[in-house]
Amino acid sequence: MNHSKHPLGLASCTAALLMLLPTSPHAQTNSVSGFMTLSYSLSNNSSKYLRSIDDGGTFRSGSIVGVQLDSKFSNTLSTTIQVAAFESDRKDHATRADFKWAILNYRPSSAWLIRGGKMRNNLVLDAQNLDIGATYTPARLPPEIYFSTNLLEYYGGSLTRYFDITRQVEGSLEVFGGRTDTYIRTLGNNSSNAFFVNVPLNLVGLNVKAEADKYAAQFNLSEYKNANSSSMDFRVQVKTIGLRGPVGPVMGRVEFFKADYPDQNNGPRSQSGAVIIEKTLGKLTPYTTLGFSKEESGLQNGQQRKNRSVALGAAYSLEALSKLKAEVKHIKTGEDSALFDNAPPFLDTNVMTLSFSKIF
Amino acid sequence: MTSLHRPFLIALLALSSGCARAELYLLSKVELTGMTERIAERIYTGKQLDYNNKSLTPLNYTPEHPVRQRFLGTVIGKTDAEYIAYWATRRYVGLGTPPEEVRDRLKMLNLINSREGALGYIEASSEEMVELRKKYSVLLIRNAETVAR
Repeated sequence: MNHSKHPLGLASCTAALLMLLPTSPHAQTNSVSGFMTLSYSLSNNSSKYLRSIDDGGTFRSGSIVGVQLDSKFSNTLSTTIQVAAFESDRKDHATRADFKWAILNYRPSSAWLIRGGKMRNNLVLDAQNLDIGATYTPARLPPEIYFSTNLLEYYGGSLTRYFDITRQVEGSLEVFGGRTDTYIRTLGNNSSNAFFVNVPLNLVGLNVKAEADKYAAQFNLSEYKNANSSSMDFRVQVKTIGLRGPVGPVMGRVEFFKADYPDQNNGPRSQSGAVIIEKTLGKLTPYTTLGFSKEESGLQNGQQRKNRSVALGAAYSLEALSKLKAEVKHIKTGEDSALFDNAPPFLDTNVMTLSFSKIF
Repeated sequence: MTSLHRPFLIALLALSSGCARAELYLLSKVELTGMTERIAERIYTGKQLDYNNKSLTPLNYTPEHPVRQRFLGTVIGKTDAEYIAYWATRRYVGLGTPPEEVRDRLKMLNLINSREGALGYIEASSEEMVELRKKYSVLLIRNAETVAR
């Protein structure tokens, strides 16, 4: 991150503050844990999918290792600091290490939670635990929904109110705001010459969630606005809906994502969605995922970027916190696709992924 | 042990296990009057921090402990693996860490006795509970509608 662009150097300030807190004499309990995913993907195409997957194969996409320190100072005050090394979202063919979470939690009562620091917008159902592969089944959550991860992390604060909707259904309402440090990747004519432009965005939003046993329903409304006044103003509204729960003998999940530029007539807009169906059979969980995304430039005769995918896979639980996963995915693009680098129109591609995720 | 004694001992064990299975009790020095299993579930899943305005710190047994498995199945409605996975997700979204774990009943009782606000559970016979009730507030866990008296 280029700290000079931020008056407070938010990342370093937050991290420094939080790193100091556990050494306080009031610290009661510290807990260190770690997580990792080693992922190998190979496609049958030379056009790079998700920046790094092609017919040469790669361990880069989806692989991550991290450690987390949780410090509890009292029943109401705690911190979480998570550092990870992962595929850089600011440079191709590179690995980056950074704070993923660095937050101070204040929970004055069971009904309220106040958080500040570096955290994640819960834009889609597994947005906050996306890096922890052992916490979900698919080898790769549908990229049509989950690929724009640089919109998730922000420096700021959130206020959450928990409440009972019925005796069995619990609800939460979260309002949040802060600043994201988005890097937009732009390709030249040659896909090996991608460059990244830092676009700081101010973020405000709300998240409403209802949960009962294995069911969950979530609605998220987030508004991103260009934080750099010297460049062109723009505003993006993102609305997402996620539903998860048992459907007959299987677990199902549906997610939908919609982004609009409300200040621009006929402005660009995008929609994407995903369905995940899984069935646990002892330690083995076979699953299928379906994904689609459509981006329209808004210009007359403008190009549409489309992507559809279907995947079949299985996760095998070696123990409660480690999973071995295998997946085969078929992807079909339109004239263009946001998920491929300089792909020819109407591309058909198969991608195989093997991964191992563990929490320790 | 002589071969003569073995059948007798096995029969005795079978009889005793068939006669009275130890009950599951929630114990604390904090007053649990009005406590329900639903509230206990919320405490053990990190959703509720206190009860009757008293801060509570739940204690658990280590994974695969038979009493833990019984408690999780009865009160939380999860298997050991599901409960571990539930807390793994909460931990990595910054929502706290799972309850402290102890290896055995003795350690559980020691912590309930010595730590302010500690909440734990044990399997015990009704005879054993006569003495423990003098020292702790107790909830006999039967079903989701159980209320502490």
